[in-house]
Amino acid sequence: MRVFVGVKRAVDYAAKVRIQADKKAVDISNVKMAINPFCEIAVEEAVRLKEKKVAEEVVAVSIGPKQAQEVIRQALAMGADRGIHVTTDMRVDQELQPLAVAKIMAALTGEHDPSAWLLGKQAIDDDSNQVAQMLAGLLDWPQATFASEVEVSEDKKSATVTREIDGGLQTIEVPLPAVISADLRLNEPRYATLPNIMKAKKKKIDTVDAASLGVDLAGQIEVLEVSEPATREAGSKVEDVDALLAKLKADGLL
Amino acid sequence: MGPYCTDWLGEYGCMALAVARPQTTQQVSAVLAACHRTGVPVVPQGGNTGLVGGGVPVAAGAEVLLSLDRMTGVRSFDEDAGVLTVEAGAVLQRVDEMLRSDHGRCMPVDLGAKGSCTVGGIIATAAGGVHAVRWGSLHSSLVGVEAVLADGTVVDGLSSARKRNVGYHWPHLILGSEGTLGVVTAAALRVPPAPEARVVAMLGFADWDGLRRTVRRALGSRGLAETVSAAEYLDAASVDVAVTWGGQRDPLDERYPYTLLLEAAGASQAYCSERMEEVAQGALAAGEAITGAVSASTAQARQMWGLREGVTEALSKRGRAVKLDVSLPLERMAGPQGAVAAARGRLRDQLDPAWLSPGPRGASTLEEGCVAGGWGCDGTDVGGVLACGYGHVGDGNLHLNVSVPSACAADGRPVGAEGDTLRRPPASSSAAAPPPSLAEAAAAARDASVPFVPEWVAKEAGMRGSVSAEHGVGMSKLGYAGLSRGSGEEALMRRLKAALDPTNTLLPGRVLAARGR
Repeated sequence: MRVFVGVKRAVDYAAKVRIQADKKAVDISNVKMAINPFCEIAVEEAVRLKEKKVAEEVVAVSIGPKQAQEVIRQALAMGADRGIHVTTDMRVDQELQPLAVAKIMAALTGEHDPSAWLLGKQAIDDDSNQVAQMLAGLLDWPQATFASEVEVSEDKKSATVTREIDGGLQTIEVPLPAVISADLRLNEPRYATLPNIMKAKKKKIDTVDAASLGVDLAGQIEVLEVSEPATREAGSKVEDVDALLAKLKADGLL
Repeated sequence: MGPYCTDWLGEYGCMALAVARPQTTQQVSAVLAACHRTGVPVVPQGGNTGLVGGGVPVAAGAEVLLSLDRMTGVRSFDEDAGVLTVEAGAVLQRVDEMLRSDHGRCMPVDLGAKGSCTVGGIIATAAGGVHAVRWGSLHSSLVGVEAVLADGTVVDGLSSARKRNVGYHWPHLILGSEGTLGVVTAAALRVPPAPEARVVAMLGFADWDGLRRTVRRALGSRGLAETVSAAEYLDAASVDVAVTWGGQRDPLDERYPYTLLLEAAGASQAYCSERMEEVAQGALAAGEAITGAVSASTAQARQMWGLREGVTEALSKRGRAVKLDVSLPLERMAGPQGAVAAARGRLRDQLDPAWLSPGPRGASTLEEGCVAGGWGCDGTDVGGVLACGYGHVGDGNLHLNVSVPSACAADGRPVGAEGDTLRRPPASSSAAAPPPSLAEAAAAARDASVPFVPEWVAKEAGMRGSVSAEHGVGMSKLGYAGLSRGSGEEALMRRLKAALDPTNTLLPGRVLAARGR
């Protein structure tokens, strides 16, 4: 069973971000980047499937500029076998949107024939939570999103997935191949240890130009403006009910 | 009055005559003048997080507790000088957060108690902390103080001039005097720019020698160089305690005899990572470290620190701990020739074997040869008295703790309850004698360790070490502080005390033992 894992290089969750001067996007020029936490969980799950001898090969896929290779290397150090770097200079937090990402992944699926895509449920930069669902739609594969537990059947023809939903937990069975998206409680990812980082240097990363995949990469959504949330104004205290009524009237609220 | 009158460890303290909580320097002066005039001793207190019983009353109903907790104001910040002037009761973590968000700076001292300890307290104890290896102890950062002497005299030495050689540097006498020479009401501190980038690494070692060589290289100019920010170590027992009782995660996932935590910080993420990768890969290539991991995100960096910072609290949850804080040359800290091994040998000699934690399976010594999976028979903490070592290895500062586990702790109920007993390893439960009470076991552990460990340190390290590294003397180390202090030094200290507090108003009997003992 070959498992493809999507890994996105996104802003480190603890980094303090600023808005670009032109208010068109977040300023990521000097910000600390890291593997998207949900993608990291997806990698861990895929590697565990390999350790359980359910999956034979784990392939880490990332889309972006040359630095995207950093997160592929981290996935390789965690135990993935090889990587595919789809190169593009489009900003992956904004310009390259979920539909285009799903189309790229669908194109790769046609070429490489995985039995499952393991993705993070969403990226913490755009919080879209769309790629897994769109990919399943494009491939006409079943989807099991917000996975908190994944069990592949003995014959590897189906998977039982527990999903975290608003009302609690839902367990479904999906035939394979399928698209699965990882939620927070699926697992706790291992650290990439130094000996494994050294071994990972010998693992192969294939490069593919996004433009060469015959896929429409144009965004469907135009970002008009990005701004910080309005600062909360300080409240004021009043001495008694009369003062409260006077203030409400003065502010035109009564 | 209660919280003011008992120390954090629950070992010292009794009812005060009164608790004074002044808001201004003038009020502090008035309190001291009144106490000085009437011969009432005064106990100054910051966050009450001290570990040597130096911040609480010890003579029931006879001492005034002077809390600085209402003096929390920030007086000024000089951007060009990089000097912050702040009142003594300000909590360390609050000040650090304010510096980071408002000025892009940070406090040069960081310690586990930061959520409660105060600026005055860290000055009184000349605190070191985890970044001393980069910024030194507070000695390096103190620029001036405003202090009130024992008779109420206010001496204002606050200045943001970084260089002011106009006579004696008396603030540095007050620094580290634990409140016995004067009460600090405000301080001027040089605060460094907060590093924008940081990288943390954890390395696992089979033997102490390997760790020492890595530390030496890491602290050198070809290692982390100017990015060095922290160098801490934990032994396998400490990691076990932090994981089992502190809920922390061990990034290396397996127990190694020694774990080293290194931090590099600076302006460039890429450069810090480069320095750290070189040190870490170098340690592996040289056969010093067995394995290691470098933080790939802030979340991972925080988790690595969580393990190191979680040990102290985890020890409190496990039961009681005899806390020893000593300075030693690296080669005598751990390993077969080290203080931790000596303490373990002592516990084996002095305590009932049924009380002791079993060592790692298959180990030839309790020090090295750790088996993956943990300390106990099945990888979990099985109870029993154990000694664990951890600390600021970059400063030669060992925190040696003898942990006495409470039976109550096993089911999550608070430790230290009435009738609480020692939790012993299962193998020894078949022994005829019932388990001792926790108090009895803790007393036996203390009697075995003190003064054995300080005497060992003094004998093996002499003036290359110290029986008290950063915790101070207070009450608890009165009996043996002299082991690391020459008689000439002590005589000079007494002359200074007599000059600044002739009637012994401030903390009588602390730091320097009362004469005639």
